[in-house]
Amino acid sequence: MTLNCEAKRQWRSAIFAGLLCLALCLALCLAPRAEAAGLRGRLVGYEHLRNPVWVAAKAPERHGYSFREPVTTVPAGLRKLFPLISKEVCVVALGTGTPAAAKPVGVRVSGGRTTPVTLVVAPGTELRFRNGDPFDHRLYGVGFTTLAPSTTAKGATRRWTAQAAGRYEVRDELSPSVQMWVIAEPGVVATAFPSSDGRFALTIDEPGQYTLQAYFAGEPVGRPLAVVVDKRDVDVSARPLVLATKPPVEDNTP
Amino acid sequence: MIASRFWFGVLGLALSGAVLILYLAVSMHDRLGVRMVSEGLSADSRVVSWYLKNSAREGAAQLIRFAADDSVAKALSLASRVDQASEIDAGTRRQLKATLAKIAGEIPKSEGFDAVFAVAQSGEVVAHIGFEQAANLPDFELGGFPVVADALHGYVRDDTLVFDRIYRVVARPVEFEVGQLPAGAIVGARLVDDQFAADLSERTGAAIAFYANGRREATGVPTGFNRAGLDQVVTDLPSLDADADYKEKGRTDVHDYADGLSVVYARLPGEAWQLGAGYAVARQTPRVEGLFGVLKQADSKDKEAVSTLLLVAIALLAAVVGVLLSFWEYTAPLKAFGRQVKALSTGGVKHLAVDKLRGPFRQLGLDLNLALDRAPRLAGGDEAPISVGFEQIFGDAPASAPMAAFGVPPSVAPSAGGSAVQQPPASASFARADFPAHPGLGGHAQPVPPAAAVPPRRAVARAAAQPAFPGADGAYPPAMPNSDFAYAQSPPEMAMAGGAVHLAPDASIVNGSAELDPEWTQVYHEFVRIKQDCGEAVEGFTFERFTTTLRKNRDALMREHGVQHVQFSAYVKQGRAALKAKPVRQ
Repeated sequence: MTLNCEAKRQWRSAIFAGLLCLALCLALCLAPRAEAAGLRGRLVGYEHLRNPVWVAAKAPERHGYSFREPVTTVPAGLRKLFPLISKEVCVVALGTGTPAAAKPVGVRVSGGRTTPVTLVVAPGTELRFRNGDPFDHRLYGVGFTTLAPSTTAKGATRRWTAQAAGRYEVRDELSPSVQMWVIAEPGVVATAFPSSDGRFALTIDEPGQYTLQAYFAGEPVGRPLAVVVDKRDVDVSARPLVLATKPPVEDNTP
Repeated sequence: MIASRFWFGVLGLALSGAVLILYLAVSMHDRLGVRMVSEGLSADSRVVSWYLKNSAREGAAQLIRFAADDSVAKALSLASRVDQASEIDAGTRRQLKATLAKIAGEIPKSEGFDAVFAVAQSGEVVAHIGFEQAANLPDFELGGFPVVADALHGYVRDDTLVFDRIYRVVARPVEFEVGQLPAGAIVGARLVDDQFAADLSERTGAAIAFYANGRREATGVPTGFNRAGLDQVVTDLPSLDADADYKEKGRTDVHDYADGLSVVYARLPGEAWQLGAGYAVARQTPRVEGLFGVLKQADSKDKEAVSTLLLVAIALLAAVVGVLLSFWEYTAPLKAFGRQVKALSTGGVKHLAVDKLRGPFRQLGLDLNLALDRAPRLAGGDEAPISVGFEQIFGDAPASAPMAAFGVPPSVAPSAGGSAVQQPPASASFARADFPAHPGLGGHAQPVPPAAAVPPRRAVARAAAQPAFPGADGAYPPAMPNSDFAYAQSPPEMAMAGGAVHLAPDASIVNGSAELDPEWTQVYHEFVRIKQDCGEAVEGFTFERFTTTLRKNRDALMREHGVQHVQFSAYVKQGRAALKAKPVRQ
C-alpha cells in the first residue's frame, strides 16, 4: 500500500512539474517584449492654431460664400477656426534608432479633407488613400510627379509611397478644400494623433532617447520635447508640447 | 408732262426715303435690341446672384428649426463626445434622423432642402436625410468643407459645393450649452437641378443654365425659348479661361452667338468658384430679319399702333395728286387734241387749232397741219405751198438788230400815217453773216424744213379791217426801183371761218413779175401782226426789208420751179411768225 501511494505521489509531482514547465514556456512566449514602452503626453496651445484652408476660404476675395455671419450666442473666443487636432496634428517620436516598420498607412478622403490631414511617416511608407465619399476624387501631388491626377471612385483606394525624405502636399482637383501634407522623415520611430483634449500616446519599441515633435499643416509646430524611454511606460503629460502661445494675426478679422 | 414727271420723281424720292427710313429703323431696332439684351442680361445675372444669396439666407433661417430643436442638439452633443465615429450610438443616429425628417416635413416645400445633415463637432455626419448616396457610408463626414467648419466654429454662411451634382449649401451651428463650443452643425443642401433652374428662370424671365466640370448640369428656360440653344454654353466654356472679367470679377460681358443668342456667364459663389462652376443667363436678341421682317414679326400691338387713317389719307392724296396732274397734263390735252382731230375728220375745220392745244399736242398739231398742207401740194405738184423759212430771217431778227445792215432806216417803215415808202438803195443787201440763208435763195443748198410749211391759222381780222397798205389812202406802195416784184392785180381774198378771219390760200400774193407785188403789203401787215401776236419785236422791221427778201425768194423759186408766180402767206410756226411760198404755174 505504502509503495503504491509513493508511486502515485511521484506521478502527480511529475505531472505538476510538466504543467509548470509548460506554463512557463507559454508565459515566456506570450509575454510582451520587455523593451516596448508606452509614451504618453499632452498638447497645449492648439487653440491658437488656425486651419489654413478654412482661413483662406473666409477671405472675401476668394468668393467662397455670398454671406458669412457670426452667431452671437457662440462666444467670440470660440469663433476661431482652430483645427480639429485629432485629424490635423500629428505627433511623432524622432530617434536615431531603427526606423519604424514601413507598414502601409491608411488615409481616408472624405468630407472635404483627408484623415489625417498631416501625416509624418518614414520614407518608403506606402499610403493608401481610400475614398470615403459617395463621389469621385482626383488627388494629385503639388510640385512632384509621382502622384499624378487620377480619379478615385467611391470606395476605391489609391496607393502612393513617399520614397524620399521631404514634404509632400496632396490636393484634390474636385474638392479644393482637400489639402494634405505628408512628411517623409527618416527618424520617425512612432506616430500618434491626439484626442480632442490634446492627449496622445506613442508606443516606443526600443528604449532610448527620443524627441517628440508635433506637426500641423505640413510643418513642425511648437518646440520639440526630448524624452528618455526605458523599459517602463513614460508619461510626459506634465511637460506638454506647446504648439502655440498666442493667437495668429488673422484672428483680427472675423 | 413735266408736272407728272416731277410727281413721279417725288414719289420715287418718297419711296426711296421710306426704304431709307426702314433700313435705319431696322438697324436702330437691332442695335437697341442688342443694347437692351445686354443690359437685360446683366440685370438677369445679378438677379440670379441676388436670388441665390437670398434663398441661402432664407435657408439659413429655416435651419433654425433644426438648430433650436433640443433633441437635435442633445444628439449632436452626445455624438461629439466620442473620439471615433464608430462609437456613435446607432439609436442616437436613428432618433436624430427621424427628428430631421420630422422638422423637414414642416418646412414649406418651396423653402425646404433636398438634403439635411446633422454634423458632430468632429465633422462626422451623425444623421442625414435626402442624401441617399451616403446611406451606406458610416464614416461619411463633412467637417473639412469650410462651410461646415465655419458652422462648427460659430458662423452661419452659405456655399456652393460640387459633389456628384451642384448643391447650394447653407450651414449654421447647433448649440447645446450656452457659452460653449457648438455641439455640432446643421447643414441644408438644395440640389441645383432643372427644377431649381426652372424656378430661377420663372422669377427672372431669363434662360438659365448651370454648368460644372465642363458640362451643363441644369437648365431652366422660359416659355418659347429654344432649350437646345443653350448647348452652345458648353462649347463656349473653354473660352472663359481667357476672360479676365470672368476670372477676376466672376462675370463676363455679353457673348453673342450667330443665331442671335446672347449669354452672360457668372461664377457661382463658394467652392464652386474655384472649380469653374457657374451659371449662364441667356436671352434671344430681337432682330428684324430683313426689311420685310418688320411685317412678319410685328404683333397685334404693333399693328394697333399704326394709324391706318393716316396711311389711307397719304395714299389717297398721292393718288389724287397723280391723277390730277396726269389729267391736267395728259388727259385734257389729249381730249382737246381728240376734239380737234374729230373736227378735222368731220370736215368742220381744215386745220387743227394749234392755239387750243397744249404740251406735246401742240407740236403734234403743227406737224399734222403741215402734213395736211403738204398733202395737197404733193397732189398738186408745184402748186403746193413751200415753206421758205423766212422766219429765220424775220422771225429771229432781234429787236435791236441794226437795220442799217439792211439799208432801211426806220423812217421808211410803212405806217398808218406814212404816205411814201423809201426804196432801199440798190446796193442794199439782206445777207447777214448771222442770218442763215434759205435754201434755194442765193444759191444756198440747205433743205427746206418740213415744219416750216405749217400754214397760218391766226385770225387776221385786223388785217382785213385796215388798208392793204400801211398808207391811209390804201394805195399800194410805189414800185421800187430795181425791183423784180410786180404787184398782184387783185387783193388777196379773205375768208371768215369760226369767227376768225383766216388767210385763204387764194388770198396769198400772186406775182409773176420782177416788180413789187402790190399784195405784199397785205402779207407784210399780216406778217407784222402775227409777229406782234407772237410777242416778237417789230421795231426796225421795214416794208423795204420785207419786200427785198420776198423778191429774192420769189425769184429763186421761180427759177427753181419754173413758174410764173409765187404766192406768199404768213403763218405761225412753233409760236413764231413765218412765211411760206407757193409756186403758181398759171
